Amino acid sequence: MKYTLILPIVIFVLALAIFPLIFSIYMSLSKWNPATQHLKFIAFKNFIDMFNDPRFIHAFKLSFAYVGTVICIELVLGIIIANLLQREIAGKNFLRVAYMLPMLLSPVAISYAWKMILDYKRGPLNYFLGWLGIAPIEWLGKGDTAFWSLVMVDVWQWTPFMIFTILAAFESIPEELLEAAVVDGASHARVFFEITLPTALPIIITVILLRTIDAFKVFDTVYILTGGGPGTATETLNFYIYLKGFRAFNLGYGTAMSWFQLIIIIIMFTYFMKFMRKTGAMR
Amino acid sequence: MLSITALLVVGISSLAWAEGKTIKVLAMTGPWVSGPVKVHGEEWGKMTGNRVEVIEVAFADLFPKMQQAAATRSKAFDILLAGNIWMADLVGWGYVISLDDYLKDPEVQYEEDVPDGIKLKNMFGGKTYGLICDNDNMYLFYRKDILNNPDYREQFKEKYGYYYNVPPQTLDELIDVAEFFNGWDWDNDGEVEYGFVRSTKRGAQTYFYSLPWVAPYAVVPRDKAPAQGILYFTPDMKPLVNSPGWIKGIEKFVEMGQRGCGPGLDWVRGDVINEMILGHAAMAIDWGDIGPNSHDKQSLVKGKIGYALPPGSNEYWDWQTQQWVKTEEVNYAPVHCFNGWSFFITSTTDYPDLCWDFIKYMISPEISAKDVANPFSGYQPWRKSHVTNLEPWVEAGWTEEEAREYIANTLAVTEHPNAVIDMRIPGSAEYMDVYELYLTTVLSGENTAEEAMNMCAEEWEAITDRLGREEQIKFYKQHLGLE
Repeated sequence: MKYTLILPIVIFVLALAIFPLIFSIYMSLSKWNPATQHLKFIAFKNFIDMFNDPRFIHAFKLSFAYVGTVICIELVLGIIIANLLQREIAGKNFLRVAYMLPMLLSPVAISYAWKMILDYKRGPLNYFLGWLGIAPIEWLGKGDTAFWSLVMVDVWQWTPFMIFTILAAFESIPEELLEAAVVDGASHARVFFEITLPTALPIIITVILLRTIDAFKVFDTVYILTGGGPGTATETLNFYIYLKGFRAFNLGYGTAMSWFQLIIIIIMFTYFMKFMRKTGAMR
Repeated sequence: MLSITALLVVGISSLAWAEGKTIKVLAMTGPWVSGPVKVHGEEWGKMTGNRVEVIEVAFADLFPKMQQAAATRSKAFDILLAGNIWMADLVGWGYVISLDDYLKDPEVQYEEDVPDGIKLKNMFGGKTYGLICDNDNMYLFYRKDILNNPDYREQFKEKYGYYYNVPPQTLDELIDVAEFFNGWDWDNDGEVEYGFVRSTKRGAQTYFYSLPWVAPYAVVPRDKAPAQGILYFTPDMKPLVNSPGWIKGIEKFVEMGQRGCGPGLDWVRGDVINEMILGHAAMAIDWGDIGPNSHDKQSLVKGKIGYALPPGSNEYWDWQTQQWVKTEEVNYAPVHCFNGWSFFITSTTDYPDLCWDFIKYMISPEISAKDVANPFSGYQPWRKSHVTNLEPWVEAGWTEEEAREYIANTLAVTEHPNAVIDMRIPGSAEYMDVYELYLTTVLSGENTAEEAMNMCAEEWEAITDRLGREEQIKFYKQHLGLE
């Protein structure tokens, strides 16, 4: 009787979480014909096809390149700016609010705004570069610049997340600890690298993990800014999964790729955490 | 007393509205295409006491949305305003109903006022499933005032050694003319202009923009082929996308980008229309919308646009004999890119008769005549009466002569013996999605045309195998009118 009270929530969880999870595993091992509603079990064929698919391999590599690039840039900027915001600088409070704004906006709205900013002919960015005597750049019209444009948008939007999380970590360090080090004759640089950074490291690692998961899922900016192009220059794995799953309606293959992506991320993080424990950065 | 009557009228009309049904129409994000549905939906709603709700989706997501709705037998949509090229898929999924019985309604004037070419596009497997409200094909738009300038013609002759035709007749000539007019201020407005504009961004219908470049080299003329406008596959579904004709067409498309266009690969359809009507470009090959848009308030080129068949070639690749054939006359092969937007009634709707009533209103001679003359409709002339009923055109600011020229050109492209009716087989959207991907790798320099099209042909074969080769051959032959 007592369990009947929790029955609705159990049914709810089973219906909305457990069943889709199990069904998606089955889907990744199947081929679904939307016309006939026929789901045919094909075992690991989708996974085998994946490794023979040059577009999948390209998208997979590109996703890693994208995630690696944005995380490195955002981390470095995040640490530097957080360090500056910790100090007594003019307009500190204003800067704290201003830096937060991009993070609060919708990625879709941001993407459309950046699309206009990066427009070759009418975009303000090329207009201002012209003031400096720099020739207009095809931000979204060439493979390499399109990739860096996506990186730029991501860095603009998500560096604040790094900044404020790292700043919170820095500010949670006891003042006495830092003062004692200064009294003992340590330089500011030494205090930063030997006390501040190591103490904040667990939080920095957490924020890296969160941002990595998030960056792997990039979709809206790719969809709006480049559509995966020019050619396949910005066809990230998530976008390719969407194309195969929802454009070609090859849902089995799309689900298989999603599961593969998830497994790779789990393996990567497991090793990352082990490494961090080994080095003493995490307990 | 008056106020009581007014209150009663308002009360009764709002009651009728509240009691009325809501018809949900899935359409492409406006203002084009879905715009007229909203406007006439309100009119029809007021007349009938029902309501039309337009659900707008970006072009790239429209087909997947329908696919999902069909797969889940969703009741989310009553009417689809869908691409005619998706008819085979929609019919194959059993998601749309036949309209043959409805078309017996004399008010539609279907038999007497709709050209056979349009009827053919509306049919699949001997039944009518969709009703075109827009006759899609691509043709040449050019600045009459600029190309006819005698000084420019002389300067061109000095540079290229020949006088160009107005309009340019072949794709080679088109490239030369575009190059001549590219990158300088030929209309003395203080701005640098371009010779030619086209869409190049992936996911922005770029594949359509390449087809008028490919067809003249890849299509065997009607009198020498088993069917009209064989472009994508041979009748037994062997891809032609990597044939020498197709590859040459793509190379010409790329060459135009290098010689006659503005820089960058992020051009989209909106840019093509805007650059033409704002006077920034001398020529474009596009759907007919540039015509009505050139008479819009923002247009700086009112009355200055000329219309012509898309340029042809002096040779074509004969896939039957596997050799190039030279032609004395220019070989034209216009393409019915997308064929047109069509109304479909879903098989899941609870109100098929009501849906028909609204569609009948939308495609009526009076309403459709207004729409095809409206720059914001995105619809091109498709009824015979559109040629004679020029009143809406004159109201929209056209001269009768220009309107006649525009409509005549649209119908000339429609009726051309070599015209390619766009592919209507299951998976057509997927085939073209793959083609566009490889086309844009050529544009971006990732691959040569030959490399890219060989890869595309491989993927096309894989799609055919996945969807069932025999079934696909059957559908394709039906599409070509061979079965």
